[in-house]
Amino acid sequence: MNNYTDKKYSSKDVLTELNAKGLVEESKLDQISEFITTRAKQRVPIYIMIMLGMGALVASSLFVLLLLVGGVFYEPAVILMFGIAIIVGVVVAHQFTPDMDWSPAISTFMMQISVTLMLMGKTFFIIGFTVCMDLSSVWNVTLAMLLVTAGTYYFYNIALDRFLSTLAVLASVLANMCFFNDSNDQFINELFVVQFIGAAALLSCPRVPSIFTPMAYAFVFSLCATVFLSSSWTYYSDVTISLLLMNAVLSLGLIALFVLVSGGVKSVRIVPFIIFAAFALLMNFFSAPGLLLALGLLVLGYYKDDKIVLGLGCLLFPLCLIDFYYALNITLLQESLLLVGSGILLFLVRIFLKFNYKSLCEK
Amino acid sequence: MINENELQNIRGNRRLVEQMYEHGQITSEARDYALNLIMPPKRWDFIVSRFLLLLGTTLLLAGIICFFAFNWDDISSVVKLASIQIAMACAVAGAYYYSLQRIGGQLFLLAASVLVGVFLAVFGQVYQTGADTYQLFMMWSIAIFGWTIISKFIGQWVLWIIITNIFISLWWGQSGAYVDDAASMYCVGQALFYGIFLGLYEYFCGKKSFQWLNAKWLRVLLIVRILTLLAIPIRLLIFEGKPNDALIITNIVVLMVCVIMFWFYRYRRPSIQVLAALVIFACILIEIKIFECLDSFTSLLLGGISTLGIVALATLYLRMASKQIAKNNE
Repeated sequence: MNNYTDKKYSSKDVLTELNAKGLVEESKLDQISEFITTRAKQRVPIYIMIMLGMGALVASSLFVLLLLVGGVFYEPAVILMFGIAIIVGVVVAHQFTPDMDWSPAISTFMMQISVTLMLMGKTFFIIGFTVCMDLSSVWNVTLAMLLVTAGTYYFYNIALDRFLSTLAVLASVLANMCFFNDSNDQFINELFVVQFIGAAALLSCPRVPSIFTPMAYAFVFSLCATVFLSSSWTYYSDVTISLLLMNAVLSLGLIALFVLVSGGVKSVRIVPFIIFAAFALLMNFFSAPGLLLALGLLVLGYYKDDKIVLGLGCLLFPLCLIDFYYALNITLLQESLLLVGSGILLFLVRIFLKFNYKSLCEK
Repeated sequence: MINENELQNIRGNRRLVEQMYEHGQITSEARDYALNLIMPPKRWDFIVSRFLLLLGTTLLLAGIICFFAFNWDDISSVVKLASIQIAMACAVAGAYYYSLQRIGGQLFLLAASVLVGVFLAVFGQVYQTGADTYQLFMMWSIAIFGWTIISKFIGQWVLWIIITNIFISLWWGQSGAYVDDAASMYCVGQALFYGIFLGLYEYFCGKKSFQWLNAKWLRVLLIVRILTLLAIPIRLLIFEGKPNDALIITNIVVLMVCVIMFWFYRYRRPSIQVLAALVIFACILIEIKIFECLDSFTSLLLGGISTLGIVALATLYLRMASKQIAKNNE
């Protein structure tokens, strides 16, 4: 194809270039620069998120255990009210202290306390609500999680909490179907479609506010879990999951991703589109859902420069490959044919691009 | 007043452009131009080409492994062995034709290396050699070592390290060297095995003739593997009532390794990602110890409070270290 050298741009380079082309006025440069530096300062690195999340989960579990086992509460209604009181207190404190000029030490510790208390409050709410409603149905836990997540998502501006809460709701739905299912709960295929649409819409639409970014990640994580479990689904549950539907949806998703990466419907060139669409539809028959999803995540992660999505794709691909090898529903020979077929398809697309690249660019 | 150095250090990536557009800082025309600047079509061509090649090769090789694992009776042994050898010869010829300077040639060599393993496995199936599994991996590792040395390809090295590690693990288990008391020594031995490659990586990766080695993900992969192995002796020490000498010695080694890693990645070759991994590793072990001590209501309270304190301190340290490293890089 070509020998391309990877050039990395700084935000200053981008602004200078936009200004030189007359796309950003001189008078607006300072304002945009300030916006960029403020956003960079506000961004919490992923390792800090992991630390905070880990600490908050452990500490809140210990405190909840202490209060429950210690016999502080007996009545479910009191547990529920206590949970609501903590949540309201944390949200109010968070709303009134957004711009406090704290030192990094105090600010870090306060954030840790805040997330821990919020998780405690949510746990008490879920326990209280579930016991008040009816302990016999696991769906009450999901309902409680959904209510408390919906109630706090907008008001509590901590990405970590938003991510964990949304993921907990989705994981709870999945767990209910996977481990506690009964014959009436066979809507796993619908759940997959909802997860897919949610993840695709939140990650690919250009004007989705950043408040929904944690939700997008939660959808992607839960989608990966559903797809990963799909190959051994029958082992856990009687509910039937349609692999054909999964492959069809994911193949269509790949086609939509191609359109997105091309720069939208108007920028799509018809020949490469037809080739790619044919490839994606063939992959529908030749591949496993996990491999298709990993493929999509890798492309999307690279396209959006999103290390979380890219990392998830990198992790999912070998995992699904190993899982596929051990899948019991098809023989090793069939697996072999599917894998070789998928590999050859990818090579064919590459060969097509190699020989048509120049003419496509000219067009 | 905007610090220009600060702007220079913030990457101009797609995420930033989308955020500027989302918050009305730039027009859609400016967004499209910026995105095209950051990610020109030529770059896509390059990336897509590599992406298809890498995934295609992986799937094809996985398919070949599955095919021979199926052990189809309808195919005679001669055909099986001959077909693998022909494929291997073709792969080596492909590597020679494309040259090892190009990704195509490197992938052909990788395919040939995988086929060596497939050949050894099928050979074992056909002739029922009765050899231990570790011998297969040992032969495989020895057979492809020369190719690995000349390959100048990280993928090939990763494959060789995995194969050699499987050989050592199986040998430990199958040769009778493994005893329960030596579990911690086994883990430390494995960690040191990966540590050798981490050391080699750190030594060579900055050098001009080793530019092919310049991939940070390899460092992360090795560090994560080493830390997960080092965690086992510590966990055994925490839960063991009466630790034996081997356990105590291995824990001293683990401590020394962690201190050396911390010093190296904090002062010699600063890396906030590795420091974060080390700090998270330490926090997890402290938490395990706290959980082991939970036996009363007071311990629950103290456990919760100490967790908050430890994590807040660790986070604070990482923030400070990150600032310091960024300042030194300027």
